Amino acid sequence: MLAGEYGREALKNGLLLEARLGTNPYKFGFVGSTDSHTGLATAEEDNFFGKHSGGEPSADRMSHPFTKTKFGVFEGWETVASGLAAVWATENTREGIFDAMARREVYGTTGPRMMVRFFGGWDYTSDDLNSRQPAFRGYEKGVSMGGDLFARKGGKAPSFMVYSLRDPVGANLDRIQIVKGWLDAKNKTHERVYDVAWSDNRKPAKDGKLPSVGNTVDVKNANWTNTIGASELGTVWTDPDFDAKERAFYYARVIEIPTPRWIVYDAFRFGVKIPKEAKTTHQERAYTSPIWYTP
Amino acid sequence: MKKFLREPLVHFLIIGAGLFILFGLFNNPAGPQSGRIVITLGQVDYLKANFTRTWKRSPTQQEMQGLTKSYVRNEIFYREALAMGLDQGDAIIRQRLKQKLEIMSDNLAGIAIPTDEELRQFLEAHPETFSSEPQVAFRHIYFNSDQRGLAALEEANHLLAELSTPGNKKNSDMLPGMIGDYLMLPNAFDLSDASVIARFFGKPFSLDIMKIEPGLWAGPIRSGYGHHLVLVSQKIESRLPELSEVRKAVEQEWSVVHKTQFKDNLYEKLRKKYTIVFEPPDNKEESILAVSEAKAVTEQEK
Repeated sequence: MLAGEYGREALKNGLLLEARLGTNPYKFGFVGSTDSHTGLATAEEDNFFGKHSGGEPSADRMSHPFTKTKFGVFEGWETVASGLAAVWATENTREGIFDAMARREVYGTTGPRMMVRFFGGWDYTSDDLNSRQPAFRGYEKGVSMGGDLFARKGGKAPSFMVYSLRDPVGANLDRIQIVKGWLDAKNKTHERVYDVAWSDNRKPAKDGKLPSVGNTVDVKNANWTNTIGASELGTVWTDPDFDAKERAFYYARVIEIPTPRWIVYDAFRFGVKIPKEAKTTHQERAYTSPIWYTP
Repeated sequence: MKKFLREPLVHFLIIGAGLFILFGLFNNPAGPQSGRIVITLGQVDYLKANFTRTWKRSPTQQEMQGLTKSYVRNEIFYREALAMGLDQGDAIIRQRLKQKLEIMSDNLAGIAIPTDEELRQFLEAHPETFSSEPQVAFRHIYFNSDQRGLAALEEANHLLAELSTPGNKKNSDMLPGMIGDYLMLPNAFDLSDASVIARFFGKPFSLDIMKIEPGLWAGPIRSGYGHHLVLVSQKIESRLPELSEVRKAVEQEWSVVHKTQFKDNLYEKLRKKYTIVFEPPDNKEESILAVSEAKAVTEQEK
């Protein structure tokens, strides 16, 4: 793990700085975007139009360096078709969308349009999740992604209601994880990733690790099947390691089953060979904005 | 006479002549070569107004001195640069002058006010731009293929048969939420655009549901998630709106097209004043341009 390369490192530093300075300069939400210079919204693997006009679809774009300077080379196949910004707005207007961003009620995906809800509170139950309208319960009993939780009497652990519906024309879901970061009494930061919901009735191994979901990708034909995974996943999760005195943040990560990367579609369309060192499959995902707990 | 007045070239010449006269009246009577810079009250006001627009207050006396000083400095450099011919062969200046002429053409074209008849014709000629999206309002009962497997379709058909039997006990009003599987999407949708439905259920579903007659439970139709029985309560097909409903949008689109045509016409008129000569005579570009120009002429004659 390279500190500085991950969003959650900044979130952890935010907790540390808040303890020191009284304010958290890294209290941000998560969205995804393309970083493309083509003016095109082509975040999907099968419509990827490149990061700039030099990377438009062609037989050799994956084997041709994307940039090459005295500092090093980025190969064409290393570029990633991503991502999208998702916003939970009260209405489809500029004002509605801006307000949602201001309260960080947003999430990012690496391209697919999965729907993700993430609520934090103190007494969510599985009945809330199974009600036909869990979002109503979500807002009634707690805060949504991007929000804040403050200490309760008795040091009760917070519970989180998280659920996701896959992209209507996309891949099934493998699992939902909750990523927790916290600051201990000695001002040291920590992080832990919990698997909280998963498909196919898998049983975690003795070490707590969840077996992999499998892989249905057919690289030759640029295809995969939704015969593994689930179209929706959800759960109510209570932090088992909660310490009421420690600052913490929680965010959810929703992971799809493996699917082909854009280079696989390119190879299929142009009839070209994929470079040996290139990764052909990946698991696309969504990241919600965090919910912060402040003692 | 009327036709004459509508000619873009005539507009162009009139405005050009107007600018020429204005230039003569307001610009320095001494001319660029005379070595005199006259600062009129009008110019002082202009400098003041410019400053005020930026800073939201009038300039102080000291600031006014500064403004005047820099005006003089700019004017001198500008004149000297012109005298040295520095405006020649400069891509930015060429581009800017061409742009000014195009803006002038756009402004001229903008004077024209389309008649209702012209707008109506334009609207009808561009249905793909102005047609409304089809809309549908419905309820649905979901059968999860993940959980039920192949039986999902069978069970959906079974429930449909039950619902379609006259006098059945299952009141369709209470159905959504009581029967079928749980899905993290609403059970009922108010009148929504087909593209919105496609975003939730996938495009095939949004196309299929538009084929269903309102009033009766029907289906099952497939989405990315499984099978759905649907009860369409209202359906509005795509249609070309009346001019009054989309007048603003039509005016806007018409004006864009009109300005482009206006500019093209202007170019064609001006182009006639010029002869293009290639050197040396066997220059390859000559034949290329000759072909494209000949094409343009034949198209115009059509």
